[in-house]
Amino acid sequence: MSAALPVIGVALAAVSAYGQYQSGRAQAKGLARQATMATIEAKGKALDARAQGIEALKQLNKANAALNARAAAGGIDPFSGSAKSLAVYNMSEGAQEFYISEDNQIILREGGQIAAQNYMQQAKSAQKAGLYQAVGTLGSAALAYSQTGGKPSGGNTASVWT
Amino acid sequence: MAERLPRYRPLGLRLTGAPRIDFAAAGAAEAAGYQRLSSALDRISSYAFEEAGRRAKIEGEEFGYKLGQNPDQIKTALEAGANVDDIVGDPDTIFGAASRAAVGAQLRVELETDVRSKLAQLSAAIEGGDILDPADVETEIDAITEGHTSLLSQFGSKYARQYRATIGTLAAPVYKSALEQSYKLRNAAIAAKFDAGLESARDIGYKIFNDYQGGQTVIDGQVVLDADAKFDVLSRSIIDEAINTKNPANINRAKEYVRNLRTDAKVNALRKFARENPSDVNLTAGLFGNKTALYYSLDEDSKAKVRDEIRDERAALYRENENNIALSKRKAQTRFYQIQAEIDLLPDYADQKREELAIEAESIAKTGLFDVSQDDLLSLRVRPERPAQPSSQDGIDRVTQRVIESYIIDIAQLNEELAFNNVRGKEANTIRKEFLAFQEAQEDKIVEILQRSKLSFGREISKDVGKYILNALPVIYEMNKTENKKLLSEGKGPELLTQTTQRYIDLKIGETNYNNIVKLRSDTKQAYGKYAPNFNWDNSGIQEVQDFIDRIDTLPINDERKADLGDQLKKLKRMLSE
Repeated sequence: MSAALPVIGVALAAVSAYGQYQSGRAQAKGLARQATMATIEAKGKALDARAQGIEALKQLNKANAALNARAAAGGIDPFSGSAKSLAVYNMSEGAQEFYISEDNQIILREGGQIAAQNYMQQAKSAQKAGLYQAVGTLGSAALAYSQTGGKPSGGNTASVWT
Repeated sequence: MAERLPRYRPLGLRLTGAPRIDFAAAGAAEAAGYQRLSSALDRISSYAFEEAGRRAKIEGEEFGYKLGQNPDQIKTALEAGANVDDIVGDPDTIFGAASRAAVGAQLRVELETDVRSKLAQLSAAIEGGDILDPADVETEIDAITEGHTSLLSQFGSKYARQYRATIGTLAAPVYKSALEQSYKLRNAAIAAKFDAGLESARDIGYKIFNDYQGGQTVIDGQVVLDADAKFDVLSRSIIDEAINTKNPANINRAKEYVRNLRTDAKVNALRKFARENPSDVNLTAGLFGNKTALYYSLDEDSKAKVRDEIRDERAALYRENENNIALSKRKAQTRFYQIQAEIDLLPDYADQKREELAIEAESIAKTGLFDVSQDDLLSLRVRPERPAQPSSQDGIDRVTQRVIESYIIDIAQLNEELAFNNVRGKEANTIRKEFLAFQEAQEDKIVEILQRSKLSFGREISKDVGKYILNALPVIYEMNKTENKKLLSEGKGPELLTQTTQRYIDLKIGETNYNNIVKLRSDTKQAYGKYAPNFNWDNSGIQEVQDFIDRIDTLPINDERKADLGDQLKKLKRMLSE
């Protein structure tokens, strides 16, 4: 039994090391999925920003159409004079909001990618940590096993010394 | 006013945000589960290793204890080139460390026991009176200690240090005893040397005065005898030796010894001179030739002693001389009378013996130790006249019996026996003839026995057998004579010649030459017989062999075989002539 104890210790340490490795892997998997999730989230928000840009263009068209219609109804040339100036103003404001929404899309998409990369980095680190921890456990077990020691090859009292 | 046309009315739908799922937390939760499992396994694993280590320690200690009981075997193994780790285990392991510690401790105990035993032997030897040199004791102890320390240091310097400390404590009294013994021995040696010096000084002192030739010398303005000056040097040397013993009693003894020796040596020298040169000595006047000064250097008591001793010695010498002369005279007279008696008893035929005795008696007479008359000297050579007596029948019977029993083997011995037994004249001659006939018959019998032993029967005897018999006869007579001497000295009866002959045959004496000749004949005949069928291969004599050698060239064989045959025949001829 005494000779089996170190072997049992090594076996248990091996299972423990496997658990540590799996622990790292599980954490890494969660973080990798989280990275994908961050990308998807960023894409969704970018689409929101795009929708806001489209709304701004719609508001611009709506304002200019109402301006043209009212000018025409009032007998005013909508493509000259004050009407035209108003239309240019509307165009300027609408375009500005549209471009802002476009910038928001870029910012959101890029931000999502950075977050995903960050998560992936964490995942890799977690996996490596699990691996190192497992190796450490196995190394410790091997050291403990070797430190136990036993009778030397030439040290059997019954066969050599009598 | 234009009618407002229907238009699509937007419902205000907007893109919904993606649901936020925390995958990281889920992964972390799963990882935590694995971690808990690992922690539990680690605790069990640690326990297993701790338990294994504890047991390894116990086993290592047991193993080391057993190993430590065999220091000689460990030493032998290490000397044979074994690594200590191969014997006790790796010191970096729990087992090896425990084993090594146990071996070291146990080995130290065993080696200390050995050394205790050795030290006890040394102590006993010292106490028993054995002479041990302290340096040898120290060397021996050091040699043992060094060897053991070297052995122990391989299991840890701690054990070597402890061992050395213990042995140092144990060995100190033994070394001290040896030192004390050595010191006593040295003192005894100095004392013995001093005693021996005194003994040898006696001879030297005597020689100084014996050699004295009357010379004088001046020392510190004083005239002293040469011999006294030399003796002073000797006495100083003796006293120095006494001082060297560091014993006041020896110094006093040396002084007294020197004083007495001087007087004794002078007295002895004068006595010797008087013995060797009696004519140069005048005791009354005190003259001793060139040793006169020696005499006058003595005090009055010593002078009187010299005179008395010389007179006593001279008287003793005179008495001894007288005694010797008287003893010689008695011896000479006794011998002379013995010779006269022997001559009277000599038989008639012993003229030679009579002459020898007469010469010896005459030489005794010539010494003049006692008076011998001329008639006595002349009568020594006269054969005593004894009346003729008839032969004794008992004597005839006795002599005849001794002849038959082979006590008498030659004619001279027979004559002596006849005279001794009072057999003379006709009877004696008859016995002589019978003796010669008996000898002849015996010789015939011997020849017959020898002939039969070679399977030769009848009157015709081959040359080889004849030669064998011829060689055997003198040897048999000599053997018979030697054996009979021995038997008679042992009080036993003599051996008959026929018995000696049988013994000669049984011992195979003389066989070698005979067998060699027969074999050589046979071999040569087999090889060359067909080329010379007329040659007497089996019984040729020396001359026949020589004739055949001369005819070899006529044989129809080649030169090489001729040479070989010639060699064989020459060898046969040589053996026949030996």
